[in-house]
Amino acid sequence: MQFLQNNLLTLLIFLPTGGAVLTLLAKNRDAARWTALATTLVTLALSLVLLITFKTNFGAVQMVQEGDWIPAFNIKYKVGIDGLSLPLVLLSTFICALAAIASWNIEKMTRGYFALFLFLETGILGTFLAIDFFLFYVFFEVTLLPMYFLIGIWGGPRKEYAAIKFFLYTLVGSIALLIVLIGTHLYTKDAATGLGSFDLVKLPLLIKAAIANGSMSMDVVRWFFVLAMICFLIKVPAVPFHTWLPDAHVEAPTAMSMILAALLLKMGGYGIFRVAYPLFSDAGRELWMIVAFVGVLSILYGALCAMAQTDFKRLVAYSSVSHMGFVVLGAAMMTKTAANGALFMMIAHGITSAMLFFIVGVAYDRAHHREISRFGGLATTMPVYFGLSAIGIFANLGLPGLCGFIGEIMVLLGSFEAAKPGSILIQSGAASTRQIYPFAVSACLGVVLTAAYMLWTIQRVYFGPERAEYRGFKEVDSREQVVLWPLAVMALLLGILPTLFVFSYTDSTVETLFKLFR
Amino acid sequence: MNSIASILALSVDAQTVPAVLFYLFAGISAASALGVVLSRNIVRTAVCLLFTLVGVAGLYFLLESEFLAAVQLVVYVGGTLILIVFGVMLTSKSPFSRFEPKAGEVVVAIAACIILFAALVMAIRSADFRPQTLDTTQKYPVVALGQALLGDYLVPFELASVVLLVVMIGAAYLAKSRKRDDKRAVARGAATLSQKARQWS
Amino acid sequence: MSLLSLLLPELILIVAASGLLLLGLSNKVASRRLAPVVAMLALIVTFCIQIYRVKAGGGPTQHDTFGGISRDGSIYGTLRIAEFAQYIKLISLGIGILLTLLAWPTNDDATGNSALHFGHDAGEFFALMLLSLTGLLLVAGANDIMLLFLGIELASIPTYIMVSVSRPLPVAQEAGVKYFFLGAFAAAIMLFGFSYLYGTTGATNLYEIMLNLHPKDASGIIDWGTRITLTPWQSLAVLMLVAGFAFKMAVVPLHFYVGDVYQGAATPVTAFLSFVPKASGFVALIKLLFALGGPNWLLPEPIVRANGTGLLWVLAILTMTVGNVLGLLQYNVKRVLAFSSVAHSGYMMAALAALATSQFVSPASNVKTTGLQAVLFYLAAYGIMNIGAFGVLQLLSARDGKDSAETFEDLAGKGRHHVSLALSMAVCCFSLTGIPLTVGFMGKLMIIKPALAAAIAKTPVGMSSVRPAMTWLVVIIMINAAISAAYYLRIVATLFLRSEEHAHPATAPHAAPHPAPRPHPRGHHLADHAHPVDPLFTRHTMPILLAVILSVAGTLLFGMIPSATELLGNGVQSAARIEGDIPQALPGLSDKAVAASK
Repeated sequence: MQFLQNNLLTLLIFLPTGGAVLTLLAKNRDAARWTALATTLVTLALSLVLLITFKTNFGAVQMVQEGDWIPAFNIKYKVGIDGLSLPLVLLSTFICALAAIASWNIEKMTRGYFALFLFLETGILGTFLAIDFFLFYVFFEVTLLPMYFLIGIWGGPRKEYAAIKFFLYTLVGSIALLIVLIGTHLYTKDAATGLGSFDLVKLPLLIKAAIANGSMSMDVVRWFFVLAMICFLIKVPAVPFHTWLPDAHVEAPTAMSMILAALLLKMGGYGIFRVAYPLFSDAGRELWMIVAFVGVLSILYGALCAMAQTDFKRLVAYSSVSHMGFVVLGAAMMTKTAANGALFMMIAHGITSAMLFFIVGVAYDRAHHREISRFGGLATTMPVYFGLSAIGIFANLGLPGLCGFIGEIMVLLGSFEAAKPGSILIQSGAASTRQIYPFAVSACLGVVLTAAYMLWTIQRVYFGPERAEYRGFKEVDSREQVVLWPLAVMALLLGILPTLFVFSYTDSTVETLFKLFR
Repeated sequence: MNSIASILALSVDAQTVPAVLFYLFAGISAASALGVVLSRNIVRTAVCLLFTLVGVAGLYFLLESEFLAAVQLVVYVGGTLILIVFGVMLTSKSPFSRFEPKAGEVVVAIAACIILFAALVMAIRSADFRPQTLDTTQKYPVVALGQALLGDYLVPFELASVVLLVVMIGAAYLAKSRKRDDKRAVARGAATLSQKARQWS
Repeated sequence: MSLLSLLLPELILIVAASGLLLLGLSNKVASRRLAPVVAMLALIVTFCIQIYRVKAGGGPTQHDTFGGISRDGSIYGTLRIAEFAQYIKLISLGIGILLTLLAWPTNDDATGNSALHFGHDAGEFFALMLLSLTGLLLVAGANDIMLLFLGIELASIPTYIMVSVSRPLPVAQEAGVKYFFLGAFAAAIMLFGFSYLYGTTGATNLYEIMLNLHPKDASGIIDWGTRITLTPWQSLAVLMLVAGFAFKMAVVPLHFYVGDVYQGAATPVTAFLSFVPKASGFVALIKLLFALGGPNWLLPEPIVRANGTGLLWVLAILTMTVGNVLGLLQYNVKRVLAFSSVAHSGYMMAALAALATSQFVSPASNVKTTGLQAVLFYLAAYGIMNIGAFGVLQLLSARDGKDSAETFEDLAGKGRHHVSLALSMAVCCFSLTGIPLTVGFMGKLMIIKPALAAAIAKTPVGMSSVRPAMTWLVVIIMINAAISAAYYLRIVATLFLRSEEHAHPATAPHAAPHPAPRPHPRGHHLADHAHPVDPLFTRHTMPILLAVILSVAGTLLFGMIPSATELLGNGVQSAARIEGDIPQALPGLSDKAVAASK
């Protein structure tokens, strides 16, 4: 037990890698599938152990495991977990297990597919658990490679274009982050070694010290913040940088769309909360308006684009852009409520987007197209499917009682809170109430738009007269139900008991985070 | 008579003779170097090169570097140049083959030359030509030269022989392989790269 | 250490090369089979000697930092085999082993392999390879401009011959002749520069040149803290030298030959070209800069200007950008790798440009050491990862029975049939892009570090800031990393994401709208899918496969395993430190030299 306690996180990260190797050695397609599924399930089970060992009121990073990796640069292998990462880790293992089931119908190069899939899981978990900046960067960028191949080899007709676009966009962001990585290393001095630091726990304090003693000017802090934000905003993706997402989603196989939307986008949001804001909180405070603008723009523009789509999957992709805008806005507002809301939003969106992409996949498997206008009457044809889809769609549009609602409302409340005297933004003089209100109000408009396009979609796809060509469609089979039911249940549970599932873990960490912002 | 003698003595003093010789040799070198560049007949070019090298050898004599001058005459004039002429005569189809550079190439070459010439003039004008006192204690510079070559500069000296060996092997090897390849290329009908590229574009 | 033992690696290689030349006289198949074995043995022995020396070499006192036959008892003769040289020798020999493996004859009659054809002249071919490597080793140890020049030429001249004979095609002849004439021209320019350097300083010894260039105070003690000013004549000499080296390094504007030459040469020779002459150019440039800047690297005006720009900066930016943009426009993978080689020279120049600004920033930024470290590390990293890429190209051609697999269409869809090979190619391409967990990423990290350190370092009082120049440098490195990712990714995409049927040259962005289909004169294309015996894993192709495996393993190992990176890192660190410090015994020499110059 002690061993497990000490090595749990490392085990969690590298278990999928081991599974990937086993998958490659598998004799046939079925063996590969089952190995992969077993690996994701064991990883899920292991991650649930975290719920027992995690100390909820601790605030700081816990269960740290640390070792030298490249001492010449003071690079460490350091993993740990706190309230920011725990919900995301659980989400990752959960979604990966479901995605493994969702990938059951992959026939082409099955072993390669599942091996890459498991490598991807390692990368995702590593990103969420790394406490060393360098390690974080490595995992962050290494997730690119499996995803690139998974889209590029198993994707749709324009897979090559989509894969390369995805890779290049994210790589540009990574290069920006690389500058920040080396820059912070150069500016800080670790007391123990005299070398620059990569420790994400120590770095905020070291950077504050560097600013205080004048060795790091505010200009540099601002630039580093902007570079880091560019990287994460590309990943999120926020509006000026979002164009890779619809292409990647449309071409990616269903399971990869699920992972892309539910987990890879979260790496961007997580980076904002783990790197950009804690390290450069001063710049974050000063530049709040730009970040908030990007957030609101994403919300509105994403929603409007979603409304204009004729392709079901593209619509869901744009709705992701819109929803992740709330995460960006939540970060920009710098209030605890907004931050908690943003974190919740990430989890909620992870559940609902995975569900929606799978729902699109189910429809596509039967109809072999995704044109919304050619659908209709599916509610009559496939009642169970419609029921589950309705849960997903309503959770996504933010119906109270389902998970989407909590995130949106918390971010909006937090935004209005930021306009009150005493909030960080007001207190520091970076913003005035008058400046904050427009953002909060336009974000509310986003909620309305979301409801509009989602309801319209339901109407076009599920309602209306039953169409003759879809009459033969078989109802969702047991495998598909196995994927959809847990997601539906989670959407409901998160909506009803948000504190139990998310806030009890994030609260103390957000508290710690905000001590840095003051 | 006396006055003429005195004028002659005045003008032909120790300073003037080297000066006249210097301008003579330098003029020969420069003029024949121009000839090398401007002549389109390859044999004439070779002959002009001969005069250039002789002129430079003369300059070495004037600088009291008799050994260098002798080496220049023996190796370059006697050896290398004869080899070049032989090479031209043996390899080219006509002994009087001509260079036909394109107009564009000439323009580029002239421009490059002007830039280089300007840079050289600027550099030389800025140079500090202080009179150097020569070390005349050693009567035979050849001795010092030999000692340096087999002493301090043993490694470069030996390395030079390795480089020459490589050049020799390379020349022989290329000449041999060309014969071999001509046959094979004809047999296979292989296209050159440029032809391939042309096909594609 | 005596002269002989100092030159032991070079001597072993020259003796082996001579033996190979004799072996080349025999026309028997057995002698051709023996030739690469002899070359390999010689390289392995010298490599082991180098490992031993690098391991044994601690501080400058333990180590014999000066050697050669010294002039009038002064400590630096024509040779200086310090840590710097030992490190360069180590990586050159290690990469030389891989290059020899790539050139291994695999034909039944041992007249070459699928990509390379040296006919009956295996002995001569491998002798030339060894001699070229010897040249590089001598450049590493050279402390005299004569030795430096001869070393560079010894490294280069064999490559001219190797290019021409490497394929029985007029293409290769064309490439060889082109390379030879341009190389000879560059050598002439370089020699011109060397002669002026000699003329203006009166010395051929690099240390004496350094001593003579630097200002002295009244008592004849050299002031290492002042930056020298070059006279126009000296500047011209330096410009000519840099131009000559730039040709070897494939640095813009003397990069124009790489496309045709790299494409024309056989793949193993191309791999050779992308390392040996390039490394010799960089080592020579570092030596020249050291002579100009002194132990404190206070480089003079045209090399670096007070605001951080200057010759190195301009060359770095031009080379990176031109190399990557041209790489993006190619349809031939070998040409892509050729221009990628140009771009990588640019990255190394960027580290040198950052190193050059060390005099204008506070010493705390440590730009001096990290800059040199970056170049030294990158040379090794580039050598390792690049060989893998060329090796895969070569093996793919072996598999298809073509002369060469070099256009994108040749590679299309190969990832489906030759998964392991294509994965190796992917690893190398990702490493060249600079994705983490590969040696290329470590290299890129080390390149950006000094540039960024200079960009954010404090400017000492009374100096103009290098910040804008260095910031631009970092930004341009970033942009270039993104551009280069596009074409490396295109290679990977062609291998994995494209199918063989759909491949056609129109996928290249610049190709004509209706390209003529490429002729398949021997009809191998149709036979592709039916391989009765996999020709990849025969006994003969093993050496090439081994080279690829070693290269890929090295790429991953040095990128991932800390101890391995440390091993190389430590070598790099000590090499950078020693070359950058004033040697202990130098004051004695300076007195003497000053007395002599008076």
